[in-house]
Amino acid sequence: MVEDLRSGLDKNIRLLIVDDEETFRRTIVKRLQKRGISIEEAGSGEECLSILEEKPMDVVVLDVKMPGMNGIEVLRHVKERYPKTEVILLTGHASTQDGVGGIKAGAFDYLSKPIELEHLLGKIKQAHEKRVREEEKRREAEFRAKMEQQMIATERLASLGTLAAGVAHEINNPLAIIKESAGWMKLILNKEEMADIPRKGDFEMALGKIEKGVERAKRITHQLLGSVKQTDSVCSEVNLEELLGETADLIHKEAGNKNIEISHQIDPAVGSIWTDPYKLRQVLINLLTNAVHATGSGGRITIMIEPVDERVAFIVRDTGQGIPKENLNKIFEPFFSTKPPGEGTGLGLFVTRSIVEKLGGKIEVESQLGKGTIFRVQLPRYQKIDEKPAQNDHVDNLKRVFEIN
Amino acid sequence: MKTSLYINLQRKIIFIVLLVSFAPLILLGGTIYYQFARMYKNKIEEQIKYRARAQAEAVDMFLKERIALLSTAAHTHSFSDITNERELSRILSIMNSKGGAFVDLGVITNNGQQVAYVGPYDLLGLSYYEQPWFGEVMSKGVYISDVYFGYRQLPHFIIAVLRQERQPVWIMRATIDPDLFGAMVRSAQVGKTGDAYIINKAGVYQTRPRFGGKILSNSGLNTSLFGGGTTIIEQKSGEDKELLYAGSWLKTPRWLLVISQEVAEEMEGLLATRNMEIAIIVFGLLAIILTIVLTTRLFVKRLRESDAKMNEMNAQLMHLDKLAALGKMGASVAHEINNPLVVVMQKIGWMEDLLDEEDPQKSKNLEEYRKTINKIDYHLERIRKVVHNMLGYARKMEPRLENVDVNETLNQTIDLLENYARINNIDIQTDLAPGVPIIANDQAQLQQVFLNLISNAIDAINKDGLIEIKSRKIDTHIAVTVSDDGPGIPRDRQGKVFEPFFTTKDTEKGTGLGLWVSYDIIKKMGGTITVESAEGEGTTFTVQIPIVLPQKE
Amino acid sequence: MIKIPTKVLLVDDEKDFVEMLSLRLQEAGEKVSAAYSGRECLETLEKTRIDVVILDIKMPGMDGIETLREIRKRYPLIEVIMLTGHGSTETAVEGMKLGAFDYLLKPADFEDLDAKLEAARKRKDEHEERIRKAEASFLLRKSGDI
Repeated sequence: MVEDLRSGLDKNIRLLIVDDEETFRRTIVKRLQKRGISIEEAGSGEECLSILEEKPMDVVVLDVKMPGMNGIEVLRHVKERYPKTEVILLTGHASTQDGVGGIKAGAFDYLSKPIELEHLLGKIKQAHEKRVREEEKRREAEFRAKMEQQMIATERLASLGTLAAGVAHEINNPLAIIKESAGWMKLILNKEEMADIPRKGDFEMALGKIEKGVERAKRITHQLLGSVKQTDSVCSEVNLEELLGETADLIHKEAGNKNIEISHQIDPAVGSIWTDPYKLRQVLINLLTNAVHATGSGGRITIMIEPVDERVAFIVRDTGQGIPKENLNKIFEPFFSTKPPGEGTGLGLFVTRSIVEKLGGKIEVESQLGKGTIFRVQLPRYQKIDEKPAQNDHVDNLKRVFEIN
Repeated sequence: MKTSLYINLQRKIIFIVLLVSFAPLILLGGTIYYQFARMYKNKIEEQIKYRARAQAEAVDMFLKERIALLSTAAHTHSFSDITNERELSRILSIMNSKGGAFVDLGVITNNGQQVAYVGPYDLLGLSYYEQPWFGEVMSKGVYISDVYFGYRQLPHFIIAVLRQERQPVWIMRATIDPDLFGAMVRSAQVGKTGDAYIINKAGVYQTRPRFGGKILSNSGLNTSLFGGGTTIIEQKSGEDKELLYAGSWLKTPRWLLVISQEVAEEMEGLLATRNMEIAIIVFGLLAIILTIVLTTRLFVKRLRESDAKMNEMNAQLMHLDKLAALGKMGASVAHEINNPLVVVMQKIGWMEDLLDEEDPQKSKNLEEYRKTINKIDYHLERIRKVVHNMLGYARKMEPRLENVDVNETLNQTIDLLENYARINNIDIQTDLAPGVPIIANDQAQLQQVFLNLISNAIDAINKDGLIEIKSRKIDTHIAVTVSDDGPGIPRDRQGKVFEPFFTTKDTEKGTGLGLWVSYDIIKKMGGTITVESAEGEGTTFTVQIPIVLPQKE
Repeated sequence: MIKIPTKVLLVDDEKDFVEMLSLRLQEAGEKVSAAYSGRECLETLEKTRIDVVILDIKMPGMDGIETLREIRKRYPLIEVIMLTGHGSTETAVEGMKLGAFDYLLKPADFEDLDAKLEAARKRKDEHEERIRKAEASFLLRKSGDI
């Protein structure tokens, strides 16, 4: 046990030793097992490769001199097929040449036989650490790449958004022409000289349909134009029951598709709250959409509103898959998203937090993997009329340090 | 509101940092000064005490010598010898040559009659019987008088010894030269304010002090304050000056030798040190204040800038989200609008069919109908194209490789923006080289870049202008340039255009991410994107896309 | 009662739109002139007597707002109805501030447009009537003085 602590080797490390000398191999295996480290063994290069095919390994300890496929060859194969696996070579006494060749071929290091066990353990540890480090780097790079991809996708949507008003115009103008044309044709149709054309009824019907189609198209574009309009920040007393109902309605369809049950309860002690209803609604919509997305089919989402001292807490709890610990502090960052690019903007929670802070409140998250996530938003009961500019963390921290009220 | 917050913060930081740095400095300076002053004063006191003791000893010695001289003269001469005036005068001159300081000599009989006298005064025959010292001498044998005026009406003091070996006893009396004595005492004076004098028990000056008084006037010192040995007291003088007195009692007469010194003078060295220390501290404090104020200002300024930047960034991100939501909605609108359009298209087609069935000669109205239907067709196609372009742009979100015709992509992008440009009276001219090969690339992302560049150009021009778009095959690259004749980008900002959140547009228009994202996309493709701009003339963006030919299936 | 035709000037860069709407308005008994740009609109106004201008806001060249400003300056009695297919309500609001009679989103209902046209015409007539009366009373007073 003491020795283990000293070598500091992770017990879960996946190790493989490859050597044709059985006695040597067995001794190493036994001695390592004594320290509580399990290690796989192979008697030849071919065996080594077939083991690797089934089980991925972190570190392979590989003898160079073996009958059949020699160590360097095996190393090349390993590096080619499993580039993440680190290889430590064991060379004969005088054959440093092999060792150097091995390093060139991508081995982590080489040791000359006879070897000291502690020395070997140390090298294995280093090799493993390198692997872990590289794994982390890779994950980090992946994360960054994903974020960038998200950003590109969001920017694409945004550029589309900037076009939206123009696009509406481009659609509305031809629509107007079609409409006038149809109207004109109708006029002609009603003239006396047209009274006796045989398919008059059909024409009328077709023109009616066209006018209706244009009407529908117009409604759709006008709806888009309507949403371009900015809403100014206004504070008013918010009817929480109504607000919750509205927001729940908005996501009802999506939730229904996934068979998610949404329930809500408002503590009567909450009373009233004065804040910006549009912003509060946006916060709730964002949290609920997130919850719906995170929750699997047949799950449940609970919304609770309860008083906390002079504040009001909005709690959105889902029974989804939860957020891994390492992501918990990232979820409020811009462009962090677990959705495929294009589906979300990656800005939802960032915007939510910004809004909550603007409203003078704070947002917290709590999550248990596999069980679900709880978002807790606390807002002041009364939003001050002279809206304070959003402070960021610097000033807040400094204010705390210097106790500026 | 916000400004005052920063000013407040700045004030607090300055105040706290100043407090923290001032307090120890001042405390340290004070403590050191205090300790130093105490040591300095001790030393001064020691010194003055030492001087007083030494001077007292010297005076004691002087008086003892005089007594010894007088006593020797008295005991080595017979009464008759000594009353001989010539002899007496000889003795006086001998005594004066051996240390001297005697003004006169006299011999007094036991009934107080001065029977012999040499000296400058005419004192022969005077009777001292009534003088207080006469009794003292008679009883004690040796006597040193306090200073008094006596017959000569000059302040002086006398030493008298009694010759008592044989009866009748007689007294030998000598007057000590008060000037000489005084000068001797005064030799202990130092500095500008130092004084040395002798007072008697009653505090009366026995020698002339340097300041503030004549001989025999009262010194104002309370001698009872001076104990055995040498004592130091500090007292205010008449002129309100702090004076330090060291007093040492003489052994023979009960006189007090006093050495005084003005504290201020004694402390002059200390004062200089103190001034220097204060100067150093003040200088240090000034330096600290200056540094703190400057660094705090800089710090708060930086903080403010970074806050402003953060806030700006947050605002841009929020705006980005809004636009993205709008974009999403736009896409869904484009999608939804398809349904009614399909209906309209069908009906138009049907009406065309119906027209064919009608008698062509029937009326001119049918011709009118045909014309109108053609118009509707044309405008339907317009809408379809817009919707199609928009959906084409909105749909592709996942990056993927496909066969891309750069010219075609450019045309599609221009289609998206043409109306926007036309409305603002901006002409888009294209010069697309026909030989540009089909490449394997991500069409959607390429289009995103083009869209950003062209819509940037439109926004840069704002109104009335020309945009030129060119494509060329240059060796292993396809070069696409987008030039506008807008106001251009100032030289100092050109390097920043590809930075995130850089924007010259108002926030309502841009996201500040367009060029950055474009840069990122092109970089990932292995290409480059560069900007060239001259203020007042326009801006040209050049995108170089590496030619990667699609793999043959 | 015989309808007095309103003299309408239709300004839009979409030629087909101008053409189709003109046909319908003519059919409805109005007297319609057409212009395809802001400049053309002003030229027409110089030559022709017009009651109401139907003006598209977004046009290349001189846009609707500029044109509106010119019309209000030169012909304060002519009423202007704005048409826009564009999303921004700001320009519409700006137009209203500049003294447009009303504005309509494209594609507009013909009945709506016709009603607005009538109302605009009525307002213009009232304006003119008032001015006439004022002039008349001015003249009367003048003659009374003599």
